[in-house]
Amino acid sequence: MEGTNNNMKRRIRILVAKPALDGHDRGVLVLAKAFRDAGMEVLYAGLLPTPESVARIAVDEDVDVVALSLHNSAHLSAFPAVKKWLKKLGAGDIQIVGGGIIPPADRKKLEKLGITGNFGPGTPLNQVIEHVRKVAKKKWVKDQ
Amino acid sequence: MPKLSELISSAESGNRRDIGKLVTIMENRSDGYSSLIKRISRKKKNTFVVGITGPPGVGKSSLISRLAAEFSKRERLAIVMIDATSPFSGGSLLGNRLRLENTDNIYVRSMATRGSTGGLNLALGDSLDLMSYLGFTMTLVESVGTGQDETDILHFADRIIMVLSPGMGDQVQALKAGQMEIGDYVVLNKADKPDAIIAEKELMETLSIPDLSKKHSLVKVSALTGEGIKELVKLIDAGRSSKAKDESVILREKERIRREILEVLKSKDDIIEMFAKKVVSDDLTREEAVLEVLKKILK
Amino acid sequence: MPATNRTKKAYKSDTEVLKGNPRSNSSGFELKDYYTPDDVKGSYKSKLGAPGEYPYTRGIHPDMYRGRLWTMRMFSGFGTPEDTNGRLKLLLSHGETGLSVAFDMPTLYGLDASSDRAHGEVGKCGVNVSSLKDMEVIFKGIPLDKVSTSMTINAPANILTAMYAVVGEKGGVPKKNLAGTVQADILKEYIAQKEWMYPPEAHMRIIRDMMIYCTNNMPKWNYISISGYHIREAGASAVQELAFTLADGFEYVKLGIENGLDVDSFAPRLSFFFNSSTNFFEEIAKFRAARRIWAKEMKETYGAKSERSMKLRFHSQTSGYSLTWQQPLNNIIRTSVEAMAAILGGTQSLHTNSYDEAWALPSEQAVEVALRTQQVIAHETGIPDVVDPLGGSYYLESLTDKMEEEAYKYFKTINAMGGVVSAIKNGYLQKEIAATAYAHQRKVESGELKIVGVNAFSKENEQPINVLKIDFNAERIQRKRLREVKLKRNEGNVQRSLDRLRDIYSRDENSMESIIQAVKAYATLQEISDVGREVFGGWKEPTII
Repeated sequence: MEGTNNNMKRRIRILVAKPALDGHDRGVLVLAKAFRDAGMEVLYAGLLPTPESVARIAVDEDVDVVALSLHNSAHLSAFPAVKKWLKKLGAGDIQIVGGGIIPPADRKKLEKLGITGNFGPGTPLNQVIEHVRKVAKKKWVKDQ
Repeated sequence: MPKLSELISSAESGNRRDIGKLVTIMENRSDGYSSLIKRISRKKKNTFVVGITGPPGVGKSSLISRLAAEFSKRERLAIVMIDATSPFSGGSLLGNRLRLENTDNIYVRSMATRGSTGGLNLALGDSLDLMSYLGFTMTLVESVGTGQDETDILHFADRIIMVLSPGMGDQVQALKAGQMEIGDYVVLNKADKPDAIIAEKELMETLSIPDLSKKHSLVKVSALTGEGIKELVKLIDAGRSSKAKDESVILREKERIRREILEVLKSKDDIIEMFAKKVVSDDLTREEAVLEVLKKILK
Repeated sequence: MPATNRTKKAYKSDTEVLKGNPRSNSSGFELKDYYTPDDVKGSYKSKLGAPGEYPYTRGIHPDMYRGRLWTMRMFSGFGTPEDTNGRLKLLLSHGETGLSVAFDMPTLYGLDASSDRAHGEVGKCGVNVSSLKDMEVIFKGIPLDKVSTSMTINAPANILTAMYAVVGEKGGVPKKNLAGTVQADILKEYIAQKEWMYPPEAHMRIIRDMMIYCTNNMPKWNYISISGYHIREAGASAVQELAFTLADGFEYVKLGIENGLDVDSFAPRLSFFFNSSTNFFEEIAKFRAARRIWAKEMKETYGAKSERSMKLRFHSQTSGYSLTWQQPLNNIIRTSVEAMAAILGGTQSLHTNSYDEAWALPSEQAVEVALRTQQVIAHETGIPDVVDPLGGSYYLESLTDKMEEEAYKYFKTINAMGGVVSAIKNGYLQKEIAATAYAHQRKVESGELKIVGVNAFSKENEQPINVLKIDFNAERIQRKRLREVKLKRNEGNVQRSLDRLRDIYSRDENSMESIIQAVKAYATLQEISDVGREVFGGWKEPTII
């Protein structure tokens, strides 16, 4: 019985993580709750996960999107490292959305690697949520 | 998307990416679900399932982390952790796996209840079949921990650990009334706390009530210090050799069928409503309406 | 020309806010239309007193800024120890005597530049210190007997203190003459900033060791700066910042007393670090309430006799969280208002943030504007001319009372849980803050709270601003230096000193002297930290979400 009822409707699964030495978790905790309230199933990687462990959680949990946030200027090394690990684990299709204190020039570099969003502090949650929905749906189309 | 058979054989060889994808197919009952179920249900169910339940805040996840560290030394271990779905948004925070320490050799999957009653996810049964099929020798399942009616874990687990902790007062009192007897092992966690002795005495009294149908083992542990974990592991191992009575297997299957039927009914609410109106307007008797509903659903 | 529907709507929504909506502040206090003498209870003498008089509500000095302006302390530090040494010397040549050093993330977590986890982070948010060698370079040519140095370091504060002491000793300045501050407030790390190495009990024991050692050997060293700044940044309201920070402070006072120190021998060395955010009056009330609560508790509960123990001294920094990346020049205005609140609240020193910090590490131009903001307030506005100029305002005094009252409610809850450490271990404090942060964000989303340039008066296309570009080769340089240090040092000495520390850590003896020995032997920051990790283990916080 495929897709019997509403409870089996596909929901966006998302992992929020700070993949570096950065304990400023206000943003990710707020985002986790906001994603839940937008109807998503939300995982949180906890404090100080390595890029590898973030990718491994994403893979086990088969999330659609990994949302990364850093305020410690390590985004140019840490975000691509997560991307690299996802590819290595056969999960290059999992979307990465970035955020934090990211200078404009770095945004472009991240975009080129397929890491999208790259929202600054104080971005309205709806804007982030809409973006996540957009990239998740894009992935779902490919999943078919 | 690769073909289902490719996914399955890749998952069989231990590819966690593809195990993850298969569980997703089951959770969403998306394309390929029926053939996947057919394929895996042919194999004998031999993953030993330990359910961990208990009120919120007793340290279920931390206890699982300790058990996982022990069992993963010699088992192919999977862990399924269930969190509540928000009734308002349909979303969920799957926070349980945060307590796990080292998951390198353990497949861990978090699930939301998705409106399913009894503290479990409808895809749990299917997922356990999948774990069996893929050769996981043991699966630990953490139920949601709302502290409410969560006896459904009975229908999926070979052995159940009821976790309690000292200083829970009213919550334990409430459990005494009905729920505690589902545990094969009653575990008093946080034994490192000073009030553990009082809680233990209270529990001993409760557990010796004569009309409790099962025999329980009370184990004092501390997920923080590791105290009592080895003893609990031994008890679980002992329970393993006496598992798998045919009648319990049939009981479990019965329950799964019942749950599936309830899910079907939930999804056909519009039909039921249509016939309810006819009963109210005296066009049909209730009995007739029931038959009509069933006919209509079966079509 | 008739107004379009859109402008009509915009006008309507603005006037609606101005009319009948109930007003409240970050602390959730409902505000009246206006305040009268009936809103102010208690006598002038008991509630306020003159500036410099108990309970110090109006300030800790009789003349405040008439005597001496607040210290404009801008903290800095990035890249290699050489970069930071250059910056510090530049500041000294401009007449500054108070240095303030920021460290990079690996240093803050007790990891060496060569650690896998340090990759990409060496020298980024501050200077990297992996061994004594780096500290020698940072302070090369700086007269440590003439300057005071503030170091923003927490979990490994004992090791950095030891390094500073050794650098001083090698340069001929005895420990007793070294002046400065380490942040070392581990409780707020568990509550908010989340940079720790060991479980709370272990870190508290290390703070105890520093407290006793410094009280006896480094009398000019402020071994702790009790910080609400990060608690606020993590999402707390003003009253939560006030309550949680003071609760932390009392916890350290208890620690000292329980370990046999006379309260007046160490309490004068305790100082505070608060956030100054955009709700002007709420912030001023918070600072005034903090002084009054501290004075009363120190006198009445903790038996302080010396006035210096009762006077709450504090550094403040404008709110980093209030800065927006949209229309970044607006941040100059926010910072100005926040700086005025800190000054009207009686701060002893102030760091003003740069307008571009939501975009990147601050550029030199932005840092200069931030400093000029303080100078304009100091020299052009007349604000510092009269002590506590807002004292006696019905509104402000009522708000100060309310702050105090609500803080005591939090103290009661925390005490009922068994103190701050328990309230950290059960996740209470962290959850309170996360809940406030989310509620705040929801209000912004709904438009109930307006933020200019974000959800009001926003523009379609934001133009990027010029931001600081740094070439980071610090990682390579630091790794190389570390290799050289390890080649040159005597391995036997290193191992012996670490073994000795392991022994002292396990036996609960004062560890400061053995940390100093390990530092001298050029054991690295991480090697020393790892001894603690072996003995005490790590720490995983309770689940907050």
